[in-house]
Amino acid sequence: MSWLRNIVARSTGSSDAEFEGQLDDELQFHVDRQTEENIKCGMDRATARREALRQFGGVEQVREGVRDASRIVWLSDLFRDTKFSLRMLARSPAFAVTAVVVLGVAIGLSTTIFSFVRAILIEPLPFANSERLAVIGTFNSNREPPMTGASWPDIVDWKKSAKSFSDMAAFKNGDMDLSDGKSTQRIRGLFVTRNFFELLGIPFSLGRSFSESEENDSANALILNRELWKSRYQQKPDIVGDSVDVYSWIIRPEHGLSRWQIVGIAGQEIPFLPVAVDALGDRFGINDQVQFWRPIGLYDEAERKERWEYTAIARLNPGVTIEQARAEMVTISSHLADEYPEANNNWSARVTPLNELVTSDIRPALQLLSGAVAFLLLIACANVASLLIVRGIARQQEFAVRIAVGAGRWRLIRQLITESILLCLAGGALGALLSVWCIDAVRLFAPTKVPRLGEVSVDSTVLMFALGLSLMTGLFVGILPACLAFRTDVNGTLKSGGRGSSAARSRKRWMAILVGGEVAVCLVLLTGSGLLIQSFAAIIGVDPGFRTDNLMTMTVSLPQGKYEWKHNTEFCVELTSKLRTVPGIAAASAVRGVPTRETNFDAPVFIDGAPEIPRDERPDVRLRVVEPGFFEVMEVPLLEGRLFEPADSIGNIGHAPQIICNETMARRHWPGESAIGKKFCVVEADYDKMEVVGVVGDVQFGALVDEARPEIYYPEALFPQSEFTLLVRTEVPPEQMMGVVETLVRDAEPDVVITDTESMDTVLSKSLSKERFLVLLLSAFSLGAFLLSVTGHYGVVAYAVSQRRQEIGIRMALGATVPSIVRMIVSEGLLISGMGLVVGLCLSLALSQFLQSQLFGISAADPLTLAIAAGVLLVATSLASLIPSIRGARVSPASALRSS
Amino acid sequence: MTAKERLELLQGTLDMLILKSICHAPMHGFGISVRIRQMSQEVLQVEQGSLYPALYRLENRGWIKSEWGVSDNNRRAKFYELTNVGQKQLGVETANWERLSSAINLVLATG
Repeated sequence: MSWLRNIVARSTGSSDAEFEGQLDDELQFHVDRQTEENIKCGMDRATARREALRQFGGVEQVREGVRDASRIVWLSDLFRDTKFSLRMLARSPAFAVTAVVVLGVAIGLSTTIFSFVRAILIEPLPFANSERLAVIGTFNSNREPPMTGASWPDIVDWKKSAKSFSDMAAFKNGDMDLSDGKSTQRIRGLFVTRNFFELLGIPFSLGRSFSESEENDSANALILNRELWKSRYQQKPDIVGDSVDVYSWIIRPEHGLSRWQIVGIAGQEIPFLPVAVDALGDRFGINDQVQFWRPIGLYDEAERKERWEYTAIARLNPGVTIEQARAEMVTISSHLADEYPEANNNWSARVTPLNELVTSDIRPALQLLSGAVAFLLLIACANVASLLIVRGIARQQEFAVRIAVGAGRWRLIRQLITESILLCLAGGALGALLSVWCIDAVRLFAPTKVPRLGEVSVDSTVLMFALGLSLMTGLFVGILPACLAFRTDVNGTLKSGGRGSSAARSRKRWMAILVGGEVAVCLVLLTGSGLLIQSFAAIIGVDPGFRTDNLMTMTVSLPQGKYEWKHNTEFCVELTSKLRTVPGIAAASAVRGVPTRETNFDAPVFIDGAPEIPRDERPDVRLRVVEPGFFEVMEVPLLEGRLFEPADSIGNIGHAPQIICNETMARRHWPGESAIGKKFCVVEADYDKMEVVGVVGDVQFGALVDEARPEIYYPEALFPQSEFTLLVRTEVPPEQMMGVVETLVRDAEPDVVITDTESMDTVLSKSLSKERFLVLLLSAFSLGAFLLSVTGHYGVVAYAVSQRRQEIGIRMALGATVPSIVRMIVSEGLLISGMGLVVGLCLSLALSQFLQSQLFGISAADPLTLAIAAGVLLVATSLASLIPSIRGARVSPASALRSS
Repeated sequence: MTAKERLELLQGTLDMLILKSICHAPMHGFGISVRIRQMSQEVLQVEQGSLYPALYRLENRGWIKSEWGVSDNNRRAKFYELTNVGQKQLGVETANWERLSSAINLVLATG
């Protein structure tokens, strides 16, 4: 076991001297014995000694060989290499700092993007085996929305027949207003089937899930989350069985308070799930916690065609793939269509993995950013690698001396790689620090709807990533310069003072490849950000259809079911007329749903006199409920006919005889003629007819990038809403009026719930947060890449000039002019960047498909953008070669020739 | 470069020769080089630049072990001795060598 002892002893630095001492003793003994042998052969002592040393060969080489052979020595070698590297780096601080900063920024940005990708795309959702969960909605290829919800009867039938899933539950989002007699609290939650908890693996802290009878009767039973239990009920241990007062859901016929019994407390906080159809807007996000669960509504076979309410969530059976499940659901859907042709013809189930649906919005953007940051890292690596090559040249003599005194070449390479790894580790440490700050900065302008944004942080996994990335970068950056430095010819270098010609040529070639590559990758990034900037400008340039400045929004929600419907309307009318009298307010009205945050309420439309179309192939029209004065406040232009008059608000609730439609509706259904006086009905062909009395300009209620869709406006009095968004046109900046408006609203109804108090400009700006996020980050990356490539280019040309001082001197001595020398050098620089640009163009075109989905109003292969990006790079790199070439050509021939 | 090539050619064989030279009694580095020369009747001359790295390599592999002792002329010297693993390895290497050399002989003897 002595060898093991040796290993342990030798791998620690302290026994280093001991190891060397013993080796010296051993070698000394060898030489002494040889000397004795030589004396025996008749030599005198001095000759014998000299001869013995000659026979032994280079002592230092033997020593180095032994060190290399003792494999375990690498640890102490590493220690020595590290010490030596640090000394060498300290000797050229400008180089070290440049390299560390370049690497640090690149590694820091990569780590930042990684931490977002990990928290958002990689970390599983907080459900047991969440990768086996799938969301099921429906779609109809003849209709516009790609996915809609499912009806309760459909889900019941799916669950009965599907073999791919171990279980299936139905849910929808909803609000409730808890009341303690004095004030109300709006809580957000889910209507669910009783198997919901078991399916998702949600435990119970107290109580149980709903019973069968509670589900069948849609009983007044409640399950609360722990947070609500703590904050509202002080964690009362025997809360199960208690009753609470709730203003019931608007769909129920009764109004006023109702009693609900708490049957359980969920043991785990869960976020809202993505729903197939979102009639309530985007108030229920993956970042919000579900506060309550209540039983799903009553089963009604007649609701089979009502697909606007529920979404199904199901767990795949072990071994079943998502494709198999999809195929089975298609088959089941076609059976259901045979059975219920009236309700189910052409409707099919759409199965999407939960993870995919949660991240579908942000995934392409994050993938794009990951690619971009990888490119930036590559450019940084190439940059530092070419710096190291240049540094290697300056150190040729140092290497040659070390080889001459017996350093193994492998040992030298290792030494150089140790240096680059040290640089990258320092860069990585800087990067990790930067990423802590970057994550906060990026989070600030990240789109609000990004799932699990709050979970993005620098933790041990992220740090491990930074460490791994640094080590890999170190190897990657170090290997080429080390191999090039190793290509030295000891004698030649010692003699020529560092300019071995063949080695210099291969170094120059590699630097050209690195710099050309930088230019190529940089062009891809520049093109990408150029396209995104133009796309962003195009989105901002979209006319929203109304005047956005000095407009304030506030969503006001009356306790649901507290009042009769009629009261809601009166409340709204009174409130808006009161607002109009406030100084600083020019006009006020209200609408259901905040503009640019779509609330989907679509219905098939039946145009009077149009040819018969099967029900499910009917075009949809979007319904929008507005207060009188909406068009005036928003300054939506009236194109034809008239706006609403007080008489339009008189009629039976649920039917508006006179409506206003938008331009798209008029153009699509009555092309080439006036829409005024035209009649149609919605939802069912035999419903009461409506008449178009006015046509107004299109308003972008959805995202600005959405195409305008046919819409009709109803007077609110005929479709009373318990929730509406106030629109207040102010004469001063809207922020100044927010307090006044809120006080007025609260005075009118103490139990009101107020959300989304914002200026319309803020609302619009928020609606572009994803686009802005992408364009800002990508532009920042491109700018970094641009700076790195240009400086890299400068470095290579400067090196080439310094290598050719002698040649330049001779040329000038023979009569070459300064411009001709400059032209010669610049054209060589241009050759490198030109080749880089050609490769970059091909790369940009090849990668354009990944960008297209993120672009609006511009093609990913837009030739003008490509040309401008290439032109900018060409000009910048030309300037970068111009400076060193002028400097080189200005040197007097005599001094250039002497300096060699 | 050429020195490196020779070293690589020799490496496997040199290991075997070292193992063989110490198979009967522990021996110091100088002794091993002398012994190999004698055994090969002065044909094989081991270079110290190969010998000592090989000794350390073999020791790290656990085929030989070393101990400081006193040499025949009363000086402190480092002695190397075969381990059990080394003994087995010597058998394997000898068998391999015999197979290889007889194969080469066959090739050379043909036609």
